Amino acid sequence: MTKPDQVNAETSNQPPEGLRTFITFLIFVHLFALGVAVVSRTGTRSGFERNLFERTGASFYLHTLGMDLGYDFALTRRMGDDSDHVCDIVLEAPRGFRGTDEEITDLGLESIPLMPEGIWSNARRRRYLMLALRVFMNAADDDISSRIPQELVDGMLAQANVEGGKHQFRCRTLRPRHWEGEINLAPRDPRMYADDYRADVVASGPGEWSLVKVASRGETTQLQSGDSNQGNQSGQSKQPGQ
Amino acid sequence: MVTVVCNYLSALVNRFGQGWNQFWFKPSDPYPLALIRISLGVLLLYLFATFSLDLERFIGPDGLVPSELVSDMRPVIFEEDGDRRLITIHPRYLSHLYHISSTEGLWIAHAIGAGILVLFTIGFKSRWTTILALLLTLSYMHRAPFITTEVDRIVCLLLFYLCFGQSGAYLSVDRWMANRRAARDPIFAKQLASKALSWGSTISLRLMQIHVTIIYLSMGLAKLSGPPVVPPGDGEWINPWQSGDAIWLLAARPEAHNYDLSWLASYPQLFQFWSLAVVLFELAFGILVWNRMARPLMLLIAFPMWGALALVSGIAPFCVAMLIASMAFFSRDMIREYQTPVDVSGETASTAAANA
Repeated sequence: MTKPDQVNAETSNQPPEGLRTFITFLIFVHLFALGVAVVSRTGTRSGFERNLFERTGASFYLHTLGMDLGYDFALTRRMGDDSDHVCDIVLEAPRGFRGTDEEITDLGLESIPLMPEGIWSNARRRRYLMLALRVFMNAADDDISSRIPQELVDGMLAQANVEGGKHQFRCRTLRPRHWEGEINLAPRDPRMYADDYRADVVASGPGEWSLVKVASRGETTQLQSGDSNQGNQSGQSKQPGQ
Repeated sequence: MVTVVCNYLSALVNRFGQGWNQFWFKPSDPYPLALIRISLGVLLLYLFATFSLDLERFIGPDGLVPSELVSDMRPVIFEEDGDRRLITIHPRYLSHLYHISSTEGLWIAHAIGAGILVLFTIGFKSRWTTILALLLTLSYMHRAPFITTEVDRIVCLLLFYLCFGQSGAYLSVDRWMANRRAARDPIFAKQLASKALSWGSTISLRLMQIHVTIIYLSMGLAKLSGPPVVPPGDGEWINPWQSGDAIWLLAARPEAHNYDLSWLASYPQLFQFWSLAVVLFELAFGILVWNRMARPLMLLIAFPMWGALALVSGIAPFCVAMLIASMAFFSRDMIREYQTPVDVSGETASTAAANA
């Protein structure tokens, strides 16, 4: 078979030329959008990359298909958002409560964890951890930070049928132990925790709650009780090896 | 000289066009799509089942992720004059769950979704059930983006690309029904045989292959490059993938696992080697999987690589999804080619006959 015959034989099994052209155009559009997503979501974004993503329609297309994120997913980078984040509501937290597990034990307080106990499924755990991560990521943002914890508190207290009282919502980073020097500590040793966000939860009406931020990551906040300042409540997670 | 350049450019365009048509439109065997369909369906059913246990907790009437919060927190950009400009479609147009406010309605919709996934997995009316499975997955993702995990994105892209191919051509109820009809109808049997290969499946597989390659290379490079910004006050940042601590950092997260991996701390060289191996594998896969000779090796290594990561990373569904995505590079020809022994020259009997 000569080369032209071979080419003809191959193209006869392919779609007609007009359809090939149209599909080629769609493929180019899709690959262009993907390229924009990769370029604009990895590393530091330049103004050009940002405009490319936001003004070409690529954001609408990729967001709709769920293809706009995750191209710089490194599993872990030893950053705060790679650690576990634990959220709970401490019920009937007394005035001056500093949000530590020792106080909960000493005072016999109860808490409602965000992630229920005894979950074996990796997929379920991951969803709760992602939700807690949202609080961590927005903890220092005054505009948005009140909405996410507020909704979490409303939902958790409604589901637990708690109708009144004064409580405290906590979101803490639980950093992994370093394999040198910390391995003898328990995985959930109190020293592994750092505050991301703490807020007093006060009933403002039947089934309605108000949050009063006590501490958040990156801030130093006076405690409302008038007790002596506990120093830096920044909640910065100390990374292993540093 | 101008003529030479023009001739060269003309030849370049023609050659590119032929190569493009060969790459995207040469009919191929849809068998890998069937494997992907089944394994993806099983994974989706698992994710769906686990979501059922928290359905009301997350998106019920008193759920932790209310729909108003989701719509208010859509990605926006702020123009220079302070106006907000939306860059995504409102979730009410992307999710049927947005419009369900009762617990009963939620469970009915969820049950119908489970039924769709079962039909998708067994390959009944594959073309339609694949599209419905995609819409269903996207719907859950857009209703509750705060609990969307890495696996959901891989699942979505695989479902999207499956829509273009004949994922129900093999290992499916559709195939079983077609075979039964072919046994009674010789004309239909001939038509069925002529459709054994399809260019739609080629497009589907190629898109998956390209996207999976992008993911592998992006992940490998992300591990080497580090974060765009290191928060102030964190001191000097040390890349865990280069220092070898990365696997330990994954294994030592107490909330991500329900089993203890502290024993790894006694074998630092193991997890340090493992960290390096993960980076090398991801970069190597993205490049070498396109080489015909190296492709089986990359696929073989992918199994223990992702399998082991699934045990320590705390994101086992993601690792399984990446393994499924890697199957886009599999073909039955790979098995056939090496069914006969390879001679000293490196040729199998089949390639030797083809070259004769």
